[in-house]
Amino acid sequence: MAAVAVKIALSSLFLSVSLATEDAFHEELIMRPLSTGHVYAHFQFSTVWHVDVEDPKAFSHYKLFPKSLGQIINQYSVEELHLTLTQGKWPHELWGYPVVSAPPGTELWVFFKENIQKSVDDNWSGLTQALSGQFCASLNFIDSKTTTSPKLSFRREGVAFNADHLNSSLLRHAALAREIVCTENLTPWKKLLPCDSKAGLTTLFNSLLLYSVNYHSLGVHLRPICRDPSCSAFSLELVQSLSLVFDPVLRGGSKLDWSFKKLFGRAIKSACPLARTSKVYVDISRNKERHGLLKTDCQGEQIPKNSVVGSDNKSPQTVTSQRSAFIIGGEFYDHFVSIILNIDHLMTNHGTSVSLGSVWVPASCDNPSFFTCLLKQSGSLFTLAPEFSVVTRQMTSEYQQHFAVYDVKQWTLENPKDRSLNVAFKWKKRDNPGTPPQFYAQRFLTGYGEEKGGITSLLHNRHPTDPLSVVYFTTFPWFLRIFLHTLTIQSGGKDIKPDIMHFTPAKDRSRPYSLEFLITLPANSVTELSIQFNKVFLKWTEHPPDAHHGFYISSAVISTKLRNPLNYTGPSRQSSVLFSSLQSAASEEVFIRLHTSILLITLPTPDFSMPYNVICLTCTVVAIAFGSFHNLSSRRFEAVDQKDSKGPVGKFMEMLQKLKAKLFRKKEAASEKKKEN
Amino acid sequence: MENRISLQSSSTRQICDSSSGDTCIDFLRLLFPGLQSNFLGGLNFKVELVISALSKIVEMGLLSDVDGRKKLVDVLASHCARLCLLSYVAGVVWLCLLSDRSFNGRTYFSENALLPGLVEGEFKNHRFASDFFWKLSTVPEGELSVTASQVIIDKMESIGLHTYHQNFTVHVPLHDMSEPSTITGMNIYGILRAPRIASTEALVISVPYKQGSNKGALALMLSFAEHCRKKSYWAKDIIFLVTDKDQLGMQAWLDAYHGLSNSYISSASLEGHSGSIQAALNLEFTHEKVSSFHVAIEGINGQLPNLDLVNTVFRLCRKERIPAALHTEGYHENLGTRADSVSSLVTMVMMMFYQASGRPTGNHGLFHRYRIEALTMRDSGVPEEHGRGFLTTGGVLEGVVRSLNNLLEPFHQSFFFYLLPESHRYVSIGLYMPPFGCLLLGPAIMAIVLWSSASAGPKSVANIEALQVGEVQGESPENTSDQQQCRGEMRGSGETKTVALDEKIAFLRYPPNIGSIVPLVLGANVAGVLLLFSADLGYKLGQVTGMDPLQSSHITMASCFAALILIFSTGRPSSSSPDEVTQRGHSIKKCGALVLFSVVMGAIAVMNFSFAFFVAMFQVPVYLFVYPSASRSRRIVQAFLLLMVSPPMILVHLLLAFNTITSNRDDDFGTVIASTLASANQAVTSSIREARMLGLWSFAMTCLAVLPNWFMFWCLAWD
Repeated sequence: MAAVAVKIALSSLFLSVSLATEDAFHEELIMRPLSTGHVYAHFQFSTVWHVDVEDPKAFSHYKLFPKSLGQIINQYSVEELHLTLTQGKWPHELWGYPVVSAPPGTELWVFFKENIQKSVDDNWSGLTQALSGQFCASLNFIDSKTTTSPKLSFRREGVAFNADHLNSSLLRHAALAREIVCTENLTPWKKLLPCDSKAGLTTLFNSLLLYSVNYHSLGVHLRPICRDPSCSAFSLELVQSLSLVFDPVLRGGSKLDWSFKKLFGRAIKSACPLARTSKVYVDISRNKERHGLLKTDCQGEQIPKNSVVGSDNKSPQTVTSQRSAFIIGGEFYDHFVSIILNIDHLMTNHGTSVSLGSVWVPASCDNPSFFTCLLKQSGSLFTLAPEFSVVTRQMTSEYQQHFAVYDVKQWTLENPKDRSLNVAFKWKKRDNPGTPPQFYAQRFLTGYGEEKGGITSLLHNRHPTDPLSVVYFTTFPWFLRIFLHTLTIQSGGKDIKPDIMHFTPAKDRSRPYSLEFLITLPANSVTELSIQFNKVFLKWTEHPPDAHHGFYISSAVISTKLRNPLNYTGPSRQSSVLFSSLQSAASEEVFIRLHTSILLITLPTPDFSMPYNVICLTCTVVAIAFGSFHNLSSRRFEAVDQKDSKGPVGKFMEMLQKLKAKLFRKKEAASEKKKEN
Repeated sequence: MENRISLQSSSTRQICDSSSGDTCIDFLRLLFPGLQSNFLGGLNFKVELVISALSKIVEMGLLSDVDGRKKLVDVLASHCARLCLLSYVAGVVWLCLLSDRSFNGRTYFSENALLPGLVEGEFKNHRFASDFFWKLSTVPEGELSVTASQVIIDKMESIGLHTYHQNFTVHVPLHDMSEPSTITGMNIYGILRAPRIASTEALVISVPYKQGSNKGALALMLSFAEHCRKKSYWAKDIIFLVTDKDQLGMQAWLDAYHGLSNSYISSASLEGHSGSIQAALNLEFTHEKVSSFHVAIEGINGQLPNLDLVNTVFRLCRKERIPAALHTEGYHENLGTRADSVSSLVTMVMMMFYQASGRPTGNHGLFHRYRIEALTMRDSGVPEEHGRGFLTTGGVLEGVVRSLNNLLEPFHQSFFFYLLPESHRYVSIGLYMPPFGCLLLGPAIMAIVLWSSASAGPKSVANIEALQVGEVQGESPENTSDQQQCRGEMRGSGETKTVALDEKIAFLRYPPNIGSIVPLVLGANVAGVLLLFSADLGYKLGQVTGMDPLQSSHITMASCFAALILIFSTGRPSSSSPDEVTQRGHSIKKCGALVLFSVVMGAIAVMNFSFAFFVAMFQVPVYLFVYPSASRSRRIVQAFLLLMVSPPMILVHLLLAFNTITSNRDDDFGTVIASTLASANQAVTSSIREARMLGLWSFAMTCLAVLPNWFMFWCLAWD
């Protein structure tokens, strides 16, 4: 076994060197303990396919890239695709920022190629149908009633092939808040991976446990990237991500401690042989964050010199990333461009871990006692086992992030006997609740009753000095009659005027309202956005099953650029590997997209059990009232001489009357007789 | 049908010459005011033909069956008094009978998703509850102090709830000088985020702090929160809420949750939100042990929670073997075989008392306005040696919340309008509305009889014609002369029939002067509005003049009422033998007042049945009796009776009945009377206050709907 493992590991290492220009696959897992005691696990699997993106005929030979998805992309001329399927809400004020933000339910946004065959809308509807089948999700419910093309909030994340990339006519965005995620979505998603769930990090996927979590988000992100720094050729990158937030308390015992076995029910036993990188990172920054700098805490211990930023020569794997000077886009909207559109161009990684301003220290490094010290201090918050190496990321001049790194390939090589990697995390003392991040938002319904209502959003900018520009994008279904004049944006009693605003009114049964604007939030403030609406009577066939359950309003999307957000890890624009993105320099701004919570709203609902009663009532009214009115207004009246012929019925009536008269006469006679008697 | 028309009776043909042609056109005009010109213009027939046809249709049509109507009215007129009395008695007795088991139904679950009691109880957290109960006992009782709130907040946070607090300030309207004008308080709440949902739906478990006396409920709620935290099956957020200052705190929190502003309760906006609230449970246990639950359901303005929720609670109490009841105040065991029937009647009447008051019987009542189904579970309030502990009460709570957790759609099945004579028997709206209709049948019958008498043809044609010339609307002098001319021509065989039709359509010829009611209605309603604002006026006056403002507002209200009574009862001379026109005027006024009364009561019954029923029960017999009279003794009797059923007196009567039922057997009548008067005074003040702060309708409804009606009859009595 050991020999096989060594062989596999060696061959994979070899692959990574020799096949640098071939397709690449990376698997990564970031674990982060959250301040509420929850554990955030983010899996990222990225596949890079060196294919000529612009040539449809090139989409015929597949290696690592999933064929089923490749064909769909080719068929519908998709340039970029972002799909998330999410259960649960991510409370930013408590958990900080996720790696990839996603709204509850489903969100799909797609850029189509410019030289598209049919119309964009046709391709969009075809694509949603195809993806619906591909992922077993109800994406086929996406139609013109839910689709929008936001102008500011969504931008290409990959290479833009044309100069007119700001034009949103090729963009389609839709969200289905009602959609529920389950294993039926996970299974087809897993099948897109080269190793499925047979080997590698995916062996942790135990469907039973994956779905009893507080947050579960499946993602598929596809984008074209530059193959080399000069951007002479392009590649296609598919990033599949799975974000989970576990509550260790729900996994038995009241303790917040966790391990892979507790969270996933099993440990990692192998790396995917096809993967170039297969790594697990655990965020251990909070241990240090709380106890200040190492220098003071670990006095007496030798501090490794190479942990200081900039001394990168000693680390063999450190490669300074190169940034392409290719900045897309022009300066259309003064400062707005600087916020959202400042998209740095992409470059591929070179098959090695890229880090900028950070230092790799392997586990067998110069000075293990330093890190042991880090975790063994009397005041440390938690301990982590087994032994690990550390990567440090300099965020600001005072603040660093530290990650424990487990290289699964190396681990299986080094521990041939017991290859299972079970990362165990033990709290030594209870963590104090963390501070909310610099920017977050809340949204809720106001008002009551079935006639009208309102929606209020609170945007918190907690930065003490800097105002923050954000783009707020929201859609409302057509059956809420939004009144734009009721839109108020206030901060501390002062009205804030949006810098740019786009509003598209709805059309009944064909188009939603979409509202998008750019506002500047004052420093250290809470800005309140509110808008009022009237509710509409739907036709009775338009109500979904469980009609009284209500209707969902999909979440608002807020985009902004933050300077130095604490404790943030996000996907990189430059790299396919998650971890190379940890190196954002101290002064760099990070693009952040937030999704607010979805809302459940009740519309006036007919009593579906009542048609019978209604029919009865209507018939009675018609019979009584309408009958005589109709009689009155539609009859022809003519004077008829009584002596004239009476017709058969008349004769019959006459006969009846005669008979009646006879009978009555008899009776009367009888009664008279009785009286006489 | 063609043939029937062709078989026109000779009478119509003969009548419908030129003279009755006018009548028929008048009739047509009245029947179809809008249609008339089009209709007549559109059909290009001889007028005579049209008229003859129409009169035929009048005879055969259902809507305009003059003959049948006349017969009916005649019957009603001849038995009016008896029918009115019968319908009144029948209405009251019928409603009372509904409380008996043979007339009402057993409750059942309409919402199948609730699945009450299906899951196995897992609540074993009673030790936690006991510990926290004893910890709370060390906190000094009184207002929610900083230490007490910190204890609660710390506990919630240690459990793992997202804990927030909310400060609020209440500016008490019409506050007493001895009380502070503003009240401040703090609500504490913790949200348990459900793992299975994106915070779109929520349940609320609320506990009023009650000066620290509500320890049992608080301990139980937090132990339940601790239990819930460890379960992954929650599909709705659970909000654990501790409210301060009873209903004021609850209202402040609900206002803030729904983003509403209240000019008397200024509440800070909430930091933490969840989704739309589906249901709420309010808990009030003073002690650790509970021997029986008392379930309070009546909400603000007589709103009730969905019957399914009530059923769920009772079902789970039964499952855990804790006795639960609705209103136990009037229960006496020494009634023998009839004990069950009497106690269910008393329970139903007690429920109607509470509902009629419009005041919520607990904090749950404030939820109802927002369409959140809610109820309160109370203990008996006295320490129980042998009651059930936290294990059992927690089991009930767990069962109810898990049932609610199953809900896919908010409560919408089952009943929202019902009366409960027993915990498991119900009287639905379909059962209790007919007795109420029966109660209002008397006024309706009398109104019809009065209307027909007010519009009846004169006894002798000449006499009435002399009276009515020029009064009849739309009848020009030429027409009259025409008619006379016709009549002259028409002597002979047709004469009797002409008279017959004249009688039939007399109401068209001499339409009642409806306009004469307008000043009465207007005056009465203005008086109502005046009274509505008199409380504020008096309060301001008191503030300006330096008197006790509250007292001054009471005095102003009372004096306003007295002044209005006096104004309405003076200034009209009465002749001993009123002429026909005056009598007609009286009839039409009373008829109008009765119709208005019926309509108003019917409308109120839909909102607050008990209120409407009690008011109607007192007022109907007196209103039927009241009629302008020359007799002095009758006038005095009428005035006395009217005063006895004036809205303030109805309040006193109801409170007296309530106090008699709820008082101990050994209380003497004097103390009951004294407490009644005190509580009546209190009720008026608090209803005005709560109208501002909580949105109670009772005072406005009395002033703007019930009182104007009463003034109309008062006016009539002195006419």
